[in-house]
Amino acid sequence: MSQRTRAHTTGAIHATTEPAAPAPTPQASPAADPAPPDDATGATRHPSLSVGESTGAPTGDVGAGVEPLARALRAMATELERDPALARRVADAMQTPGQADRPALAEDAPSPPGSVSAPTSVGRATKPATTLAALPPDDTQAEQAVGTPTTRVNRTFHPRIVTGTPPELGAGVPDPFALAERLGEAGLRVALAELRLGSLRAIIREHRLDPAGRLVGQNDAAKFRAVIVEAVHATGVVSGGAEPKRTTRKGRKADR
Amino acid sequence: MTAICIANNKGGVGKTTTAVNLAAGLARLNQRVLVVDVDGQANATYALTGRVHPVPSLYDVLVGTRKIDTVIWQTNEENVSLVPGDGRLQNADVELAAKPGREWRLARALHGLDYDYIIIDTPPSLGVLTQNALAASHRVLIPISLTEFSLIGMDKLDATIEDLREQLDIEDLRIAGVVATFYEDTTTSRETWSILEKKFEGQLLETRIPKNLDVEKAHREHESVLSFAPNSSSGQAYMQLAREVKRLVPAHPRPYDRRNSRND
Repeated sequence: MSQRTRAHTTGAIHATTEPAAPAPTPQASPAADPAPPDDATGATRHPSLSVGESTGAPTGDVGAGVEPLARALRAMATELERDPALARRVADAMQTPGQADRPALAEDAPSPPGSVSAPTSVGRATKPATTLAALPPDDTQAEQAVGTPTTRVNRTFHPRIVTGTPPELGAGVPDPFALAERLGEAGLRVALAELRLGSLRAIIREHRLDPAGRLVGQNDAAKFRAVIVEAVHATGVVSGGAEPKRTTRKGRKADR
Repeated sequence: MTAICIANNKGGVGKTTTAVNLAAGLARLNQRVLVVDVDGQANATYALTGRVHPVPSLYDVLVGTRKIDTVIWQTNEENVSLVPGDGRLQNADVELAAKPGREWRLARALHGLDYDYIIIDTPPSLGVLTQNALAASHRVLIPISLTEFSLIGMDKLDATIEDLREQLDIEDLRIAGVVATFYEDTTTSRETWSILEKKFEGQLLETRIPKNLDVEKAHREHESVLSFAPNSSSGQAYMQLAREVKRLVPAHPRPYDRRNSRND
């Protein structure tokens, strides 16, 4: 007798030769799964599991949640392959303890003496590193596997930790042209993503990026960021083309 | 140059919000404004720049390791500059206590700066930092929230200002006015307003700052409510406050020169 199971993410139909009894999970019956330990942690990899695929076991919403994650990871991998500088920064950030949750904005810009870096992970629950393959099919099986009682989801209120604008951006209104030269376009985008409306509006005002005044009275941060990136592109700072034409006093001074 | 200190020994009455938005309002009236964040919580610094406890700051100026012109920042508001504060200021009261001329350190640091207005945001206490702020100011603006608790302790601020006038020989230090904040169209608000009218006869400003969520949202976006929501009730109120303050306390055309900013 064969049992048909549907891969949640791919929609493919796999025919297996399991008996009618419920398929044992790797955790419940390790002997039934011949897959060798995956790595030094001893985690057992499902024979056919890779990013974008599910175990094929009927696990409810788990499979439905994997596909968006897989898509995001594929998109990230594509972006990292396309941009070696970004890949380097991400790799550096991942190798530096405590910095993995924050983009490396200023790899070549030391903080001023005596400056205090704002805590970035305070108040966040830290999770041990794991892989998709090492995860059991669902939480219930995981708890049974380690023999621990069912734990409740921690719903304690964690207030937003205000870390403010990164100190790496320096004092005063940030200069997007200098940031682009120092960090590249990807770095500039990361830096802009951390800025709030007030700082974005100030950049546009200080560098006269909206001479027609089309953004006056608007509170659209995404549009502000797009205008700033477009202005940086127009100067050729990030494309490595012609010498950037600075239109601001600060920019011209920097060029001199 | 005219220096205005925003002071009230009570916390949560809207001192920082008033400082930030009054500065932005004066800037919109074509005045060059410098905000000095004397509060160790550095909330004005955050509201105007998005920075949390930046270093160096006013602390380094007060302890004498930096000149003030090296710590002046351009803020997110046009024509508003800032001397930022940071958490170390919370210890400054103790550190400055034994130093000579401790009340005049800020006034001496500001000497020679050329702005139209200096707005000084103070901590909710009457320690050495607030004394520095008062000694460096020509006028005091007192925000009072229209709540029952706000009236308690007002006499202490009055007495402190009077003491400072005598001790430091700064007879020109005057109360510019009392501005009511957190106004709501409720009986409590209206009753408190009437009490303030009697208590501060002739000093209570006409402008009432309404309680409004846009102010909080503006803080979160690191800008004044005049930039974030200029047409909101609080945005219009702060603009009206700026006009009223400019009319009551005109800016002197000369650079900052506190008559008594001496080392004694």
